[in-house]
Amino acid sequence: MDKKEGLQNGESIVGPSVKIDGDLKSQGNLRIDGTVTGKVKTSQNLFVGESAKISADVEAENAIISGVVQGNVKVSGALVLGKTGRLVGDMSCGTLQVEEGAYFAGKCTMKDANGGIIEPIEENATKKK
Amino acid sequence: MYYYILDPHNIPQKNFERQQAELQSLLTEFNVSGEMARITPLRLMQDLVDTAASRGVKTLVACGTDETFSQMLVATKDRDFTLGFIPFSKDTQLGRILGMTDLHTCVKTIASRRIEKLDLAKINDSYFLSYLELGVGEQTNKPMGFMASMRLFAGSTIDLKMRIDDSYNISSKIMGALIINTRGTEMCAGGPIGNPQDGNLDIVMIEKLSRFTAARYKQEIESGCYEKIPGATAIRCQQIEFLEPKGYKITVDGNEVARIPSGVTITAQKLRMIVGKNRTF
Repeated sequence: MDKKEGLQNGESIVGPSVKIDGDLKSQGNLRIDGTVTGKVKTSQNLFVGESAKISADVEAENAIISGVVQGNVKVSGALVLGKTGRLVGDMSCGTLQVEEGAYFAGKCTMKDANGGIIEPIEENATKKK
Repeated sequence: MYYYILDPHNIPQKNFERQQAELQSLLTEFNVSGEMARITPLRLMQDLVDTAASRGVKTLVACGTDETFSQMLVATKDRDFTLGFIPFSKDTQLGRILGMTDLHTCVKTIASRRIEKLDLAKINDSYFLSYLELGVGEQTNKPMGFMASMRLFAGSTIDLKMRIDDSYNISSKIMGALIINTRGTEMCAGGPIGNPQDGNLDIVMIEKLSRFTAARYKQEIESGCYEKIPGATAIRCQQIEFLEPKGYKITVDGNEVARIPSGVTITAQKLRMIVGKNRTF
């Protein structure tokens, strides 16, 4: 899912000058280049453009973040934090890619191939002692 | 039985008489003749539709302009009719959408009775099958000269505010917007926007463009394919409430249908419509 594909196939596009306040829900691909406050939820792909400013909890199947997101991000599939992306909040995803230059402040939870959460190794070692 | 309602309004009389005669001859030729009624100051669309309903007519055909069809939609009042349209003027929005542009094609289409169920959108008390226009949207499918279009695109912007699906508010400074049930441009055909059978309305908006961008995307602006212009917004929804700017006019094919504040809704597959082979959806 690159920018061009997002524009062409995105069933919903929020332009740079648009401000949205409330719960934005979409059944199809969603591209955001504007400002959103509230909640963002799509059952498909989400592309957050460089000019986007999102102050909301985000849910999507796959997501590429190249803009600013302040809120928790929950992605069932792949999450890409682009080089211009800034995420302040917790994220949970299936697979994660963070490009050089991206900013992330928060907790990250990922599921392993079986769908479970892998416990930290250090914690187990401390318990044995 | 077919019931043809002829509307001479907005059509030069000579032209109307000629088209009426030609229509009668074609209807006989294709064996789809039925009753014909003409709108007069004493027999309005509502009266004629009521008469048709009382006679058990199942198919109504509006012959005239886009306005004729809009009046018919209002007059049917949720009664169970199959509707058809025969344009008596060369460039009708509905004719383009349905692929019915000349009399011969129209009559042939009505004879073949290709019926599709279409979504029907409503703004205040007016129904529409096509799209609502705001700002430069009013010029959609009306080709302009280069200088005229540049003057228009350099015009003022609208501070639009809407509530969507009773879930979120949108505010934006826009140059123009279309609220699309379906749109009659071959250029935009085939895309996900403007499908009149998906139960959704599509909002497409463009913000203020530079002269260079406006010139580059002149064709897209004129044909209402805003989603192809960088920075455009496209949102799918089922309910819109226009909140601001208060008093701003909303048009269909250049004719005012409402003023802000007003509400738009859509009913999925409500309309049974005879459509042509060259329809644009």
